[in-house]
Amino acid sequence: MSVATIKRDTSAKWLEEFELTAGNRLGAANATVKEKQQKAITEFAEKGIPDKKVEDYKYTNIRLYLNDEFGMKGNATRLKSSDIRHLFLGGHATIVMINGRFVHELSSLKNLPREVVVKNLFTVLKETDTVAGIEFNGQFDEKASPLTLLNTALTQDGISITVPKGYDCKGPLHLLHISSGTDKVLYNPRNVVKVGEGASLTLIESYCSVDLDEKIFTNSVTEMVVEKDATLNNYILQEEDPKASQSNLHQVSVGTTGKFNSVIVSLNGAMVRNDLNVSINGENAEIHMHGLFVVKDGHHIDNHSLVEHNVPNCFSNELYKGVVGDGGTGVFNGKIFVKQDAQKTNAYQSNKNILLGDNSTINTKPQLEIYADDVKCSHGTTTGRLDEEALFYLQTRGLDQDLARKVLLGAFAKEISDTVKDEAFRNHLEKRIQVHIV
Amino acid sequence: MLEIKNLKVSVEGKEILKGLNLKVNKGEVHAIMGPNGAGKSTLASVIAGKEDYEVTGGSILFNGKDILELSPDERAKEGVFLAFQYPIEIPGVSTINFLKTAVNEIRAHKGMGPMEAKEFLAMLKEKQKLVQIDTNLTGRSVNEGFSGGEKKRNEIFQMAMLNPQLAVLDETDSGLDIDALRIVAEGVNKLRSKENAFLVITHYQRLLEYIIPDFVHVLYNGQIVKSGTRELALELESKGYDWIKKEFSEIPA
Amino acid sequence: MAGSDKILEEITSSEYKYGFTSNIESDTIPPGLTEETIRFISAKKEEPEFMLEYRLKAYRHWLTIKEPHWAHLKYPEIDYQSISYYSAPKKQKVLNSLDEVDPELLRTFEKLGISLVEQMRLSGVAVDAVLDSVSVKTTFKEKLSELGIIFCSFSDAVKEHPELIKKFMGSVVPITDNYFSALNAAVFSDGSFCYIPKGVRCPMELSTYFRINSAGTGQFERTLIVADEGSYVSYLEGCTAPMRDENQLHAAVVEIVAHKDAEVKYSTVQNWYPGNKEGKGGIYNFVTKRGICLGDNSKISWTQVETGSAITWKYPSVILKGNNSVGEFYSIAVTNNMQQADTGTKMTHIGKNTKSTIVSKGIAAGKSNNSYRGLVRINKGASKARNYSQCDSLLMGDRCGAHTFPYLEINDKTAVVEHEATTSKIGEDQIFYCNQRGIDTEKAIGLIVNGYCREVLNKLPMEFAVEAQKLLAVSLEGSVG
Ligand SMILES: Nc1ncnc2c1ncn2[C@@H]1O[C@H](COP(=O)(O)OP(=O)(O)O)[C@@H](O)[C@H]1O
Ligand SMILES: [Mg+2]
Repeated sequence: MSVATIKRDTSAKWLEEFELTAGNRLGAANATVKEKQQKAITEFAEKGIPDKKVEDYKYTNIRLYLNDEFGMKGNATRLKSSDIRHLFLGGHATIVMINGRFVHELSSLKNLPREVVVKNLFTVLKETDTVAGIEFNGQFDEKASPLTLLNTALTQDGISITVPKGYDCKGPLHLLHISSGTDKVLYNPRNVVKVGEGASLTLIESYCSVDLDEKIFTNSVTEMVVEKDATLNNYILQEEDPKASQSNLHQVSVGTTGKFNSVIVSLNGAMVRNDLNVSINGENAEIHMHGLFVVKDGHHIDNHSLVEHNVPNCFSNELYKGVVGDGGTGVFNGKIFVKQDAQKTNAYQSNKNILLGDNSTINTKPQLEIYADDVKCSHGTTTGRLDEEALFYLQTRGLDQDLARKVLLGAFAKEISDTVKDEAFRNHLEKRIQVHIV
Repeated sequence: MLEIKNLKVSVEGKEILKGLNLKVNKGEVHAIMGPNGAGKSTLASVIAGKEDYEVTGGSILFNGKDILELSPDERAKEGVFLAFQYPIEIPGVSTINFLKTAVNEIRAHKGMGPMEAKEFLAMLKEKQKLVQIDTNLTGRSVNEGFSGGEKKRNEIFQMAMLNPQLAVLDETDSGLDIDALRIVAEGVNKLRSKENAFLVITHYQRLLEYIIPDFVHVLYNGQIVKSGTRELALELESKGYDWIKKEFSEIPA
Repeated sequence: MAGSDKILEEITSSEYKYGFTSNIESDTIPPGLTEETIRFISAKKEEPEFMLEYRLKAYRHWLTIKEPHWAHLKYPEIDYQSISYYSAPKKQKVLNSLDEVDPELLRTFEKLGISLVEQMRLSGVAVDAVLDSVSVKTTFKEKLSELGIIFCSFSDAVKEHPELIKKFMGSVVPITDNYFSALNAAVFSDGSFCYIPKGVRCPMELSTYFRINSAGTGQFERTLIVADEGSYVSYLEGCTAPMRDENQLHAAVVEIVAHKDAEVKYSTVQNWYPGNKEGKGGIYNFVTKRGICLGDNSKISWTQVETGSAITWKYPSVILKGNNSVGEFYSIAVTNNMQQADTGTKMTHIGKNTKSTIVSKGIAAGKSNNSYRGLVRINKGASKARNYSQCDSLLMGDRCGAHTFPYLEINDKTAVVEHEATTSKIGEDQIFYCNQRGIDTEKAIGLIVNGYCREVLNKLPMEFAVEAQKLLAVSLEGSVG
């Protein structure tokens, strides 16, 4: 696609860190991983930190949020259980991750079924070459983005979650990601989630900040594999401090008759860049992707998604909604890719945005790239104001303008939160949306 | 005119018609009744030549000619017309242009030149009157945005324009209110002649009060299980299909 | 289904019907591009000094930039030194009547379906025919001049109306705009110029036919249309080229300026040689077309039917500067065999209450790739701007690709922007329905495709619409339609 003319100097800093962190990186656990990290840093060096000249970052200049002032070492903040208790959801098994690392003593695993294996990635790779058969970095090829390469090269650890074949994990698993600290740090957590054949899992991920006193940048990569007949519900809430920025990539492979349901709600943070890449590799798979972003006050939220239909007879549906308040910038970039063999694909995509403020910007780029003829694919996007007639109608029923707006925006958002099946999380989401949406 | 012998038809490996026999002579109107899923539309589609249906046995002769070998448009040119149960929308193609093409194709098949514009328009007017279809509908794209009833009426209008020898009406009555039903039936009656024949597929005998059939057949489980006259339709109306189902359910698949 | 397979096979073996060559002696310079070439072209055309300077400035800029490769197109590197940058029919004296025109040339136009004689006598369409790069004959000149309308070759305009050329040439597509427009500015040999004075409604369609004839030449024509306050003009452009084994470059520039209350309708039927079934030969069509709605209430409407060229790279655009101005883009792009098209539009909303409409119908057959690429930009302050876009793709056969790359950049909260896109194949049930009425599959596909394109075809002037429908048929022929 576009010719990237990135100056090398945005990578020099990270080449240095690569050397300095050799003993702490994931490669220290495993020789194959070590090689992969070496390869990734070399490739990253060619590209550097992406700016607007890179087509995929046309509307999001990462260099504004991540520069040479960042390091890789931070003073660990000592969070106590009482500091974070309020962030737990109902009785869900909760895995606490602080700055991308699993903190066992703060987690609540008593409701975690024995069948579900949760471990540090480092620990797992120290013992074996794969995570329950999943090869580290196995889903990425030459398409890997610069930030994915950077994560692969520099990652030190993350979490691995595996659900064995046939196991239907009833209660949701809550991954509580907390950013915290007093230093300008780049974190590169790396996670692996595997849902085995016929198994199912609901994985909630919430991102928030506790005692965060300095800018940080979290560059997270999660590899997910949904095997044959398996189901993965992945619900994400992003509500970090305005000092925090994150690039969050989920690379998902879905097998035959597999089901993947994703809901991503982004409400706060200086910059949030999501990449949700779903690769459909088995027939009759079904994918649902929903997203809501609420952005204002100079913040920037970018949702990128890619659905690759590699095989015939699959279904994907995507709906993303954005509410852009004063000074906010929202980006939606969705791509549907249908390979030549993927006949009888049904793929739909929709993006709806509401602009509220005087300095609101939305950049949206829905794309279809289709190489099979017997398909039904469509995308649509609309951007506009709140429905003025509806506003007026509510006012004639006695609601003041603010309340009327709140009601309408709430209804706009509800279509997304309603797709969350877990009640505790859905209620929590609705409350958080109410806080941010006005 | 139409002779169907021991017709066996499968779709996606499932046998739908299991040895069906039917003979229709010139000037006759045959009604085919039967419960949902009996295979009525399958029969209509196979006569018209739809590709999804696999004929695994038997034959269909039309004027003594085996039409199973013919493509759908060749059958239409020979004089077979199907009024679809679910008429298709063709956006951007006006009904007039569509019919002009069809009329001229059928004429060409008979070795005739294209119809003069004036003559065509005169015919258009005449047939519009005959089936009382709104001129505004014929100006629009084929079936696009038509209501269910409008689509059905448009089918009959097209039939009037193309003047086929054999017209198969697949549940043309469903979705029509009583007035529309009468208009459609009157249209059919006006078109009835010694030279043509009708195969009227319906659920209800209501339509048969207006279009008086010479024969009534009951299609069940892929076969014609009962044939009779108008009285059979009345009997079905009062008793429902359950007794047929009971009586013939043990037909081997 | 078997029927459509057969048709696809036939489509892919359809032949280009405009692929004859004319035996007109032409005056071609050897391949290569240097400042000398440019001086030669300018001298040959007896241009005033300002034109030479303009060309040289463009050339020097061109040397500093690179060919763009962001489009969804694959083609071998273009060797700009192997192209001949000037080719004029030799007998290019000033012609006063049609009798003086080379009869061979007249026959060429006849073969193209535009007999100038007929044009003059019957149709009331004023034609400026550009063969290779030189404007041959402008009909109806006198009649138009009574109204104060200037319609002539670009070369004549440079000599006769230098003040207008100086004022508007490059005002919409500056030489720095892109690689191909810079190249055009440096080497263009001719084209058309049109000026409609205040309050004048041009009483006839103005038309230009472009044809590349000589082997090894590039064609770089330039069109400039200026519609003064309250005026109206409808402008038609047709293109053909003979069959040749090598690829030929066509890099044109069209600029439109619409003043207050003016309206310009620009329609194109592009049928450059697309290359053969294996993708050998064919025109590389890299065209920059842009209009500016300079004044309030002005309107620019692009309609295009693109069936030819091996490569199409083309984004007719509108800058909506005046308040209440309107921009439209209606497009049909058909690709077959090995053709590749990356086409669309840019609508830039600057003025208040501006409106733009985009309707794009892509049809891909054979092994072709057909992409829509569009940008809708609503600037801050463009209050109450509206855009509606509809991009549909139709796929015929499982070896082709249809792609949609819309960019929507919205910086004003009062904007309303809607975009829809669909991709599908021709419905088999639609074909069966037609079949059942006695219409064979080939004709059925023709009907359905024409129906699918109706919204765009309706925007074309009558004569053109008929030609366009036939062209759709021919392009998908053996045929589809
Ligand atoms: N294209 C098809 N694919 C699969 N099954 C079909 C298809 N068409 C018809 N059938 C099946 O064949 C049976 C007969 O259908 P149909 O002829 O439409 O019945 P009727 O018109 O009498 O209600 C039904 O069980 C129906 O589901
Ligand atoms: Mg039926």
